[in-house]
Amino acid sequence: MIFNSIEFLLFAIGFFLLWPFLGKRSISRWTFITLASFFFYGWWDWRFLFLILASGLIDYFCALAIENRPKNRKLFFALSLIGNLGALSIFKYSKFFATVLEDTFAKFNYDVDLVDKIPEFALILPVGISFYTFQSLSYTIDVYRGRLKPTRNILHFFSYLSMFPQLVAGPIIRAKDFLTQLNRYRVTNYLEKWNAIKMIAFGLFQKMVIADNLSLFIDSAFEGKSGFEGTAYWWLVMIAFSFQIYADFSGYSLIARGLAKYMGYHFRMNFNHPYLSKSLREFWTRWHISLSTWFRDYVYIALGGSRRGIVTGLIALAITMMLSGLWHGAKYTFLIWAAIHVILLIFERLTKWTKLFGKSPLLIPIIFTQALVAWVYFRADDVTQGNQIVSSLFSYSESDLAFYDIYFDSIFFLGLAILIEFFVYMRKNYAAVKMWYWRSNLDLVLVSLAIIAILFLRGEGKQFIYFQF
Amino acid sequence: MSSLTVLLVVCVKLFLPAPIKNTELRNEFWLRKTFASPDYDLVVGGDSRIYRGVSTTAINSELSPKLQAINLGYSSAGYDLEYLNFLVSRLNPAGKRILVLGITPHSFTLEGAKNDLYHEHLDKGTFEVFKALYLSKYLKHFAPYKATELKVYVLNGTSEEGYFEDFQADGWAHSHRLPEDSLTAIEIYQKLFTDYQVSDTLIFNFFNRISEIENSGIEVIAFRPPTFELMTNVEDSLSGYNEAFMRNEMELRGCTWIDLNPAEFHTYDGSHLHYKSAEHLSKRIGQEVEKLLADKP
Repeated sequence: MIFNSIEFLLFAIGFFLLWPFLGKRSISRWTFITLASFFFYGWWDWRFLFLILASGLIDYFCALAIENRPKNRKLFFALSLIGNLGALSIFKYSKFFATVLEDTFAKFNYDVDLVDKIPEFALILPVGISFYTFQSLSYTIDVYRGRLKPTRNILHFFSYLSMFPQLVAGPIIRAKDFLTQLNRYRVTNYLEKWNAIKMIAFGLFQKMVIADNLSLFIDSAFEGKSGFEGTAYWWLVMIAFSFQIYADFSGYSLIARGLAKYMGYHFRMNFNHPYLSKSLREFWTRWHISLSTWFRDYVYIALGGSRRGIVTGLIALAITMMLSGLWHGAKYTFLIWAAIHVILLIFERLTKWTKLFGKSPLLIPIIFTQALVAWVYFRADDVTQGNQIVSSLFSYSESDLAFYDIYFDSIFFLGLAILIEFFVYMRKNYAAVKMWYWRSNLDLVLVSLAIIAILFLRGEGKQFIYFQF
Repeated sequence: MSSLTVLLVVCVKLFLPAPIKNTELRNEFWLRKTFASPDYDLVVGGDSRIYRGVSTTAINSELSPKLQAINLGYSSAGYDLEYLNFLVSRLNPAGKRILVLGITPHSFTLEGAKNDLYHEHLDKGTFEVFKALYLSKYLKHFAPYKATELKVYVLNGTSEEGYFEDFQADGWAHSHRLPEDSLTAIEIYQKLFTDYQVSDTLIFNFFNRISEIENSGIEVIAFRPPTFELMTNVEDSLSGYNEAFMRNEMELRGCTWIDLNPAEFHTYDGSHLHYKSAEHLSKRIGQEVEKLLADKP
């Protein structure tokens, strides 16, 4: 069940009609959230429920054991890590690692067949496995570090783990924040509901109008169906992809936050206009914030962070980014995507070159271009295709501009997406624009226009890109 | 906010023409075919030349009494055994049992035999099918527009340019294109037949299955949908299709082959019949069916 579907609309109507009647008893709210979330997740494939149940049960009991049996806390923590990362390895990485091993053996003239021996069930990637595994892991890590008291109520735990708005594609919420929120009974006021509706409308607009309308242009380019080539063509395709992935994922996060807000809960911001960043470091504080902070808190800082000198800091940064690349998928292309970011981030940290520009808006297109080049490998089917596209971007060859007419339906929405970001930039940086926006109460008109666009300008309904992770 | 939104919806519905491609109706159209009930006297099969070229309502206009009939043609459909069996399975065992097959070279290529569109809809989930069959009558009012349509509408004050199709309940898509260009499809087919040729295996299996179908008492009527002359030449010269052989083999198995004069028909892109010609073709088929029924004891 995806947010941009009639099924979800019916599900959400049913959920929010019943929600106010659950009253002050936490247990009824937790039961309702858990059952509804399992229904939501099971809609894809009910067999996936066993995995989330198993993963959740391991962490629920391990966390209790860490608390109750301090002498064996390391053992139970290890058990939780093995359970979560084991499941992730089997379902997400088994094929990749088997291929790497096969290739390695082949270099020494040993012909080993590993991929074909992987059981069929392990080749199916359960939706959102990386998201809920990391969420579940953060719970046991925090309990192990003594930063969180484990909950004794299993429904309390599962309502945190399986909370449907963010279950399959985040934002990755922290147990420390959210278990407390789940304990409280809150009736949402009018303003909160309005803000929730606004988030849902803008989120759906980003997904259904911007991202979905861009997909034809991008998919046909990467699948080699368009027949177009050349520098201008590939630049436009990659700009479109940069905005597609942003609108797709940011749209999902906004909808998730809006749904939670309507229930009376608060999820932290996951995207904060990352393409307006003036350094790559800033980009990573604005892009997929919940994952970036997860890696910062549980990997980067655990590896020493920047406290132990520049070299340790850079090594920690490299390891964290490479793991982040691998988190996205078991492909060399994701590792190259991460490696590009590592190189650029290290260069930026060592040379501090962005300071040469002060606060100049010129930095925005420069940082965007860096992110765009890395996106090539994120989207490419394989490294060879990625290399070819990068070569097209940087070695000039003429393009047949007929693609503009053929893909006008997509290019129009790319223009709209850029215009919206430009307006956001103006609003953030120019007091007069901010005041005008605030005084004219534009929100009301914009939400109505977003709804109209969702109804009449939506693209072909597509799955959210981040579901595959 | 809700009043403003409703007002805007009303404005869109009042001031903009209906979208050229109604995706909700399109989805419903294909799913109604894919999940059609097995109670038809006459079933029509074939590729896009058939789903755009044969109206069973027009066939029925030549018949008395009328038959329960449906067009189960799909875009790029090919005659593999699964598709043939699907067509046969939609015939009512207690009905007249007439199978009308549109024969095109493409429908005997391995590319056609993938039957992608048929499978795409066959694989749709239960809710998707339910939505298309029961909710599309409401959802069709919210069919999305393309940016191109709006551009043309804003610049020219009309959106009467492009490909238009109007999906009919009998499985026929009433279609035309403005402006017309008989050469549009030629290049596509030239490339297609460079990559894919008519498959001997497919033809062999097709004839075997046709013999079985005829032996089971089903009447098979076949014809080659008329196209632009240059298109016919391209197909005959590049695809490996042999019309005389096909006709001969079909007739040997007891099928009725309809001869058509291409000069009587008009295509809008070199491949597909303009809706007026489609109605004309359908009536010709209707006359053959009427003759067949009259001869049947």
